[in-house]
Amino acid sequence: MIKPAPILLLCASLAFALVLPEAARAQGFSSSSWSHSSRQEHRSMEHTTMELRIGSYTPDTGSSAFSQIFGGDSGPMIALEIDAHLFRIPHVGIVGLGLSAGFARYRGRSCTVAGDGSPVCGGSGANGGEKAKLLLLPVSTMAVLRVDALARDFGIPFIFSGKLGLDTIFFRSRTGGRVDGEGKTFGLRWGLQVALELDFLDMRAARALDEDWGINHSFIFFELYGSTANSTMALGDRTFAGGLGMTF
Amino acid sequence: MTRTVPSLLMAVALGLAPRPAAAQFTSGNITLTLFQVMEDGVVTRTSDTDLGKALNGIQCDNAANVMLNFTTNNVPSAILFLDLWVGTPSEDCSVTESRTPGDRRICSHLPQDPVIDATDGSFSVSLADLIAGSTACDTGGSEVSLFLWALATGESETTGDITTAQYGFVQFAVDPTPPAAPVPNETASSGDTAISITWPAVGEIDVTYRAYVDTASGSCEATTLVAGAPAPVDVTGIISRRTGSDARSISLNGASLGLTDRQSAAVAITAVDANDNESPISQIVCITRVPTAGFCDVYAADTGESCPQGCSVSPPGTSPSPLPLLVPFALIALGLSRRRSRR
Repeated sequence: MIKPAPILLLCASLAFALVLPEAARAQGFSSSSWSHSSRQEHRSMEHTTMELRIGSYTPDTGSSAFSQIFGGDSGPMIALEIDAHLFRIPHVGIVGLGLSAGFARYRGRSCTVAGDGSPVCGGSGANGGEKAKLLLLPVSTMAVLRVDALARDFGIPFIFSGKLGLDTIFFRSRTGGRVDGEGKTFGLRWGLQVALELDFLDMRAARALDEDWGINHSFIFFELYGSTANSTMALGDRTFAGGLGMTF
Repeated sequence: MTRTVPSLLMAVALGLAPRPAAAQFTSGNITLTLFQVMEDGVVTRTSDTDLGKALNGIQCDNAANVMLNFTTNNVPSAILFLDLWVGTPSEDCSVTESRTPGDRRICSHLPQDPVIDATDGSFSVSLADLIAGSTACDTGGSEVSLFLWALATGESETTGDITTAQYGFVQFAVDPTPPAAPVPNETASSGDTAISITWPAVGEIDVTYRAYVDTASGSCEATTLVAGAPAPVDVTGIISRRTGSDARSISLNGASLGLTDRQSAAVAITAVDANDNESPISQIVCITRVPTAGFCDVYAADTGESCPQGCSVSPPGTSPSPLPLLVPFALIALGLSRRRSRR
């Protein structure tokens, strides 16, 4: 069983996020360094991308346990992702390292127990027992490729991204007043994203955001993603999310 | 008794706590301060919080044995006893005609003239004497504010004119009416470590609730709790009492109550208002301890694999650590501050 220390993982991610932008800066790339000079000549350098997303997430436990207790509860999963930009591939896009942390909570009713000790459930969460809760805190570290050549070279405001990395899902299951399970499970995390940059809506406002806050671009996105986290317990899923992102 | 917010504010403003004289009356030089309430010889209220409460229905029922102890200041030195009168907030007992015998008398004269303690200037008066001339303790009424007037004239029933140096007054309130009994949403509830009972709020605000759990009877039918009856006074022995906040639910742990599997217990809820009036007990809720299966139990039964235990985000029984969520925010803040500092 894989058991990397989560704190170590976070510290490593933190170090990456702090150090890598410096490396990127040393390279001196910015959205203006090779793009349409007439459109973005005053853009500041890009170091980081942040995304806030929300979407449904229903763990695929490989059993009926989730649906029996929580019925159709699908979260939602709310997550924040920060990508540190490592380097730019000219006329392709940015390669970065991303750290994502999410949160989802599910509520349902416990099943009763038969004389032989086996659970007796009403199905689809329609049980009469105690309250049951499941808390998921997924933390992911991913390599990210953001293909922004369309936006930078041709002014077409679409960005396509691919992500691949390690997913760690911390979880806690509580039934009534007792915790009946808690821990973490690991797996691969992947994602495919299409984003629409919003700069074209108001170029002047976009420029002001950059000058005042260092926000180079803002965008909305739709992402199909999945997790195979099942090392100790199957809690992965393949689902989608939408949200808002910003490039600093 | 149902109180609206304005009436509550007024009740707070006109409550029992010693406070400056009402604006409509001319203040006398004598100051009266309630400092203690005793019931059956036992001190039951001494703190400012408790003394600010209205006298309640239980005290009304035991009025002859409830003594209110006051301190006085600025009583003329030659005066050994006080002439006490009671009036409503609209009745000025310093005015002569308010005390004049006949139909125009609006203040009530107390039958006893308390002697002032020579050492500390205190005196005592029973609740029975205080409410002798009013309906303040009649159940069903709303909270009533009254004024106790102390006249230092050397007379036992002063009828003539008095000066400001010869009187003082203090306000108190009586609230004999308990809130309505809560109506639980369930008649039965089962579970293991969190057997839940819920109920809607009773009409009155500033109410706490008590749950009486009878585990000794072994069944709900044999319980000594009776719906609509007064709350048990003796809560030792077979009845355990749990006082909750103003929350309208309670979660009972079957194991902590000493229930074995499939054993039942009777639970009743009462509401207690700010003046310690307690409602009759609610209808009985029958709770039964039954084992339950949560997500991990069902998962283990389905897959044959147990959920991990203990290697977790945080120690068992505590909330998960927010660290994974805080780190990204810290990164954002750090990144922004570094960026801005370079400008």
